[in-house]
Amino acid sequence: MTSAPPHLTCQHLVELVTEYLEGKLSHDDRSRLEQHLCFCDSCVKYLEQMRQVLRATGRLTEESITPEAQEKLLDVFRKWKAGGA
Amino acid sequence: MIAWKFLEAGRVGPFSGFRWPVDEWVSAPEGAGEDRWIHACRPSDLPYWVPASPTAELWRVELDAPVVAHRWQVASPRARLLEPVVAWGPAVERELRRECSAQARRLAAGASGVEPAVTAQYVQTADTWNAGCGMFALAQLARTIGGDAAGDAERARQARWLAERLELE
Amino acid sequence: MEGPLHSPILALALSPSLACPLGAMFTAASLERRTRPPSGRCSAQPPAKDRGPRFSEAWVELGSEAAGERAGATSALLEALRAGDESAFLHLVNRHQASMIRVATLYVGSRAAAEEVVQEAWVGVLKGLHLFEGRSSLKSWIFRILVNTAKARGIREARSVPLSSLASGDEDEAAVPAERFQEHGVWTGHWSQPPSEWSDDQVASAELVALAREGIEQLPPAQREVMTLRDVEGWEAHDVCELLEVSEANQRVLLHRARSKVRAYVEERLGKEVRP
Repeated sequence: MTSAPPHLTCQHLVELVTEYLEGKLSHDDRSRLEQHLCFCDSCVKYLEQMRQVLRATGRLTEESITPEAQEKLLDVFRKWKAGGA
Repeated sequence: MIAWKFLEAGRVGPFSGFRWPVDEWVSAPEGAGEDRWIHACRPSDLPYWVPASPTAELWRVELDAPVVAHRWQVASPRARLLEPVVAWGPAVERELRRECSAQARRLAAGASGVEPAVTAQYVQTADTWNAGCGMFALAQLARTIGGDAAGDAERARQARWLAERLELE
Repeated sequence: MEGPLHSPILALALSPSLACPLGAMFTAASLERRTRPPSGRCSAQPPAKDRGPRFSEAWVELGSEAAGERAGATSALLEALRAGDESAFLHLVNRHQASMIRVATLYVGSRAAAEEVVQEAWVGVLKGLHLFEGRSSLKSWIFRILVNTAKARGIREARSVPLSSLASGDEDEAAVPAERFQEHGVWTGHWSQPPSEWSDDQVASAELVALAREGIEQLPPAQREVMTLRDVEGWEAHDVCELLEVSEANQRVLLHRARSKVRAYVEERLGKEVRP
């Protein structure tokens, strides 16, 4: 059975991606990960795709509150105000 | 302190996306922790960071004090690009790949006690992939043959090759 | 691995600031979320490529946002609310309404039910305003009321939504199935079936947004909660942990599983497209 000297594999990297983005990797672990990215285009692509997905999830469609809903809430507010302190 | 830094085409930091100005001091954000500092390579660090892209650039940089040494790089809160290492480019990268192939064969030839099927995989990697990957493979092969000391020695050899070929001081 | 140019790594997506119609008392300048990093001594130009900030710059932006949230702006707003200033209330409502409806939907399912829950929550906010001590952020506090209201309603309507539990049933799930990596040889653990290519068209299209949303909707509840709050709503980790009452480490595990699943879902769906 061939076992290579321990090193950061792609399979490890995909499990570390979130910690990497959150800035929670140790300095050396982050270094190892970035070194891996220097030569592994597949992992670069994986991260790029993760970024693209996150960018997509963050794209909110502007939902402005309807005038009716706003009126309802203002009603609520006025009632609360009138109810005293 | 003088150091070196690989950047993507157009002086862009590969992990920060920051486009560097030339010969202008740049600082890490106010109050930033060390992980947000500017990173650069000593000559001994360069082999670990060789990029895959054929349009990557290598720059000679100046780091302001304080400079913190880490295992594979140095860091400073303030730095500036000085000049590009014009020797770095696709031609050198091709030479480096050929050198990797040759070195893989040299290591394999001296690898008593390691199955040929194993060394062959590393030789194949050195023949097929980009230089950065090849050099990583060489370090792994050396480590397989002679443990961590041999792996470190191989990396040091790679660093000397680069320093000489690129005429770094 | 000759191939495309070495790509920049990653940007952390941030929600755009919501436009708020403001009354006379508040100006956009004082209350608008800061989304640019402080300039400091850095002569940095904006990121070179239109891919948004990298992780490091994103931290700065997140930090600024939190600082802005907790600064004097909140106490000024609170004072105005307590004094019965309608424009302050409207400002608060417009700032959080859309987000509250999305979060409420996590618990009650239908938009109509979510809208009612949000209405009820605002009542709770106003009634409890005199009790708010500022130990948490105003936003956290509002959303806690919202979540409690939504959960209570969810239970009443017998919708089975496991409450923020870590037991998603997939304890050993991998970010990427093992068969995508080499299982033999010196490069065991390296890609054997690398990520498939996504075209620029696919990435730029609204389809990616829709697929990402679909992916999130299919997540187990705890993972869906965390990813919705962090990545859709743009909340800081700290606020999510406070709201869901989980540790930072656990929150990160949930976020990791969620993001991995959603990326995998998008990859699978994009791969099935018939290309002209």
